[in-house]
Amino acid sequence: MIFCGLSVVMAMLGIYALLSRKTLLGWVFGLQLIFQALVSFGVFIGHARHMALKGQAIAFFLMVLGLSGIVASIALSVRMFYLRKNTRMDVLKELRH
Amino acid sequence: MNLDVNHLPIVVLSAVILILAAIAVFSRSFRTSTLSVWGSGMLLGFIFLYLGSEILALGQWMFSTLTAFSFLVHGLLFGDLLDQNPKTKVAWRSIIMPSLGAIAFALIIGIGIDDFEQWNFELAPEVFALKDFGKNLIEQHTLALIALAIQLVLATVGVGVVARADWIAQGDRR
Repeated sequence: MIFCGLSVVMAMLGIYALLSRKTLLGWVFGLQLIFQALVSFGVFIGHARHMALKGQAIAFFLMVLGLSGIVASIALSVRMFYLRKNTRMDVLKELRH
Repeated sequence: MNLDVNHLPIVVLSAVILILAAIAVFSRSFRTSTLSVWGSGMLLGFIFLYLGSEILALGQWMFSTLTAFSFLVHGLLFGDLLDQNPKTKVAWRSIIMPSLGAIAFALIIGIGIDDFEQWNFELAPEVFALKDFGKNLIEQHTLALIALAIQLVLATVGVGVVARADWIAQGDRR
């Protein structure tokens, strides 16, 4: 269980990055840390419960989901730069208009 | 749960990963943050390798390297490397609640399973092959695999639409 603490602390750091960073890329840093925490959590739980293959399958799905989410965030960041010439998070609200 | 000297590499790697993650979150330099996130992902891959998950280790290394490369290219192109003040002030109450939520989530999953004290953290309990992993995915997670494939197609199309250039959005054929 002590290794699951690594996942929890990494997820907390990712949440703090989501709250504190101003730019979209800083926000994506937090997103990546959260997904790394989820992947490691799946692997650690699987090993601790003698279901390593199942834990790895869950971690695989989470890793691919995280990768697609981060790619989508970077695409959104490119779009923001096209429209507003910067990637600050407060500009994101204006994309609705 | 029994910890012995065989778990020492995982403990050391975990400590370094947490230090790198903290540097990534609290550093004011974009380049330092990118390299720290990359380093933490690579070391996490080494933990997976030590646990016998070669497939996940390779996936994690590719994932970290590709995203770090994308961050650096994006930062160079769009000037994020020049952002000297990337942070804003955060109220403590807005940190405490999500943190408590993360701890509660882990506790619910950990305690809610059963026989918590009988957990035994085995190192590489079986030898996995790519064939076994793929067979497990196809036979036991078929629906999730199909949903993941559809989601990847939608994400690929969506990324192309979102990141299109303005002259394409305006129908200007050059």
